[in-house]
Amino acid sequence: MNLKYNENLLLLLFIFFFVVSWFLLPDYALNTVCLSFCNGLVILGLLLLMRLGLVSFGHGMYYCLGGYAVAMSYNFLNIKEALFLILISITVGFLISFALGFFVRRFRGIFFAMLNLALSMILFGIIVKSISLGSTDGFGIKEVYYFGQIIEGEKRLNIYSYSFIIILSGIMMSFVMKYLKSSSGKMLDAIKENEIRSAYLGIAVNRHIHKAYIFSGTLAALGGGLMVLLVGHITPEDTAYWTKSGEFVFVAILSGSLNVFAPLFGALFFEFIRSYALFYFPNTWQMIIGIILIIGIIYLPEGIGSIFKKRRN
Amino acid sequence: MLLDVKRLCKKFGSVSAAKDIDFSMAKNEVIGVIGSNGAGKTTFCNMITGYTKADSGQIFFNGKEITNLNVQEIKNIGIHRSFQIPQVFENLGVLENLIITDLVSNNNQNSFLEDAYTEKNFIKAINLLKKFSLESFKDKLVKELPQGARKVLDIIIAIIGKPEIILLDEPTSGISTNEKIVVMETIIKAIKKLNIAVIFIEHDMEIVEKFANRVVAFYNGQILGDGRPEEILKQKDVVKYIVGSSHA
Ligand SMILES: Nc1ncnc2c1ncn2[C@@H]1O[C@H](COP(=O)(O)OP(=O)(O)O)[C@@H](O)[C@H]1O
Ligand SMILES: [Mg+2]
Repeated sequence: MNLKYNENLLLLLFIFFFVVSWFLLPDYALNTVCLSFCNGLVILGLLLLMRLGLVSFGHGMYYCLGGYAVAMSYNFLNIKEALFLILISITVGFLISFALGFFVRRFRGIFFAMLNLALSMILFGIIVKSISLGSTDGFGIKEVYYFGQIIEGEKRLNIYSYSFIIILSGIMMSFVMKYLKSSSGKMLDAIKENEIRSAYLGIAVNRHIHKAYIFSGTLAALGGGLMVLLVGHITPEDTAYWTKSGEFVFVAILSGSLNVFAPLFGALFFEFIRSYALFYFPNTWQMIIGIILIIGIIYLPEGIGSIFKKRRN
Repeated sequence: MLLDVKRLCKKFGSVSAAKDIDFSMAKNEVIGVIGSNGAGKTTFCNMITGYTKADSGQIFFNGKEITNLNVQEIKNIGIHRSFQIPQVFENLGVLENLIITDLVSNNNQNSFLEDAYTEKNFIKAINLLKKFSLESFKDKLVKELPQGARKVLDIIIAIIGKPEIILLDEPTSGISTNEKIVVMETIIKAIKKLNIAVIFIEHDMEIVEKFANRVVAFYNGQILGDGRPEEILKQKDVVKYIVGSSHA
């Protein structure tokens, strides 16, 4: 049996299913699906770090950077094409994670996690203090073109934006899938398992951590960029503040790191639970989320992804 | 000389783990290192492989100084090692351990385009296991292996990539007495076939006598004796401090 073929097919079906959902689901559900995909990209980025045995409590920073890259390019540079805006957010995520990677790659465990948190708090502070960046109010954007197409007066959530988000996420999932299966990706498993042996094998440990970190930061920035296209607004509080990063880690742990589908399902699960819980139990929804995490940890210690886990023969 | 160690010193607090160690080694030598616990044998290995930095002294490999290279650089020039406590990827499969090692030694660690766990790589890994009579463990995770098999896996990993020198830190510890000789025979045979020089640390004098063509005896961070096994194993102070106590 050829597993490679199966995984790619599964991904195609996954994307196809969500694209088709456009014609089947009500608007509010589609909106939640889109938002879940934006967040899911950040979780996908965290998955790469989890493969190394690392957690970042500050990935909201890249989410925020990607989002502000879109909002600022739109407002200051007058760029209105979604594709360009997204390319800018990816570039920003790439460059910043590349630069910071030289610093964070030297740390492990709780130090790595907290260092990222510290960096995201600095970014939060900078934005809040900068009037030209909208301070705590953030930024808004108006109509966006998708490959030159615009639906005047239409809602932000339209067939263009929807399929743009879903398909782009699918492409990213396939990249991550390819990476994790590649020789380079297997070095992450080795480093997580035994850093001493990895070094003695000649694995360039820090370089691999750096690479995964860049990939991870870039995915998170893309998620933030797409979120701004969808929501039309960004504030530092909803992105770079530590509670958002905490939420990402929460969903990442709930999802597990077994495969690239887990982060997306985890994000979908979380967003839907939250919106329903908020609606029916407005005052106790955090409690419900907490109980779900406990159940998840007990019954699915390897995360939501383990539902689809192939058994070792 | 293949390996030259000059006046190597290392202290941990007040403990001297290496005191002015002078040592050299030629190609094709099989050196048995003996010494009671805490004599400084592992520290010696750690300094040669770049894991522990010496306080002073120099190490040369093929005439080039390697004293200040790091673990990865020393591995890449051709000095590999195994560990007293096996250092393997516990939660990965036995075959996956070998494949990852092979990928790194073939300079494939940065390849994004090639898949790692291909059928070809699995077959290669299984063939390697067969050479060491471990194929019955091919579908196991490393953490499911008995201690002896894990030890051998650790050594196979060190052999992959054909180093010029291999350091084995107590290769037979944790292996039952009646299996020791057989396991060691397989390992040494494989290593000799590849023309790799060996330094092995060993407590079992029978094994040292059988496999080493030179013995180096460590005591309190110093070399007490260095020469042919028949001589060193009978040397008075070696018998008193090492051979005698190891049988106790
Ligand atoms: N990392 C370390 N920190 C402190 N002391 C150490 C360390 N490594 C070794 N030692 C000490 O150095 C001495 C030599 O240890 P070691 O080289 O492990 O001996 P051996 O392998 O011959 O049993 C011992 O006294 C040991 O306690
Ligand atoms: Mg030792």
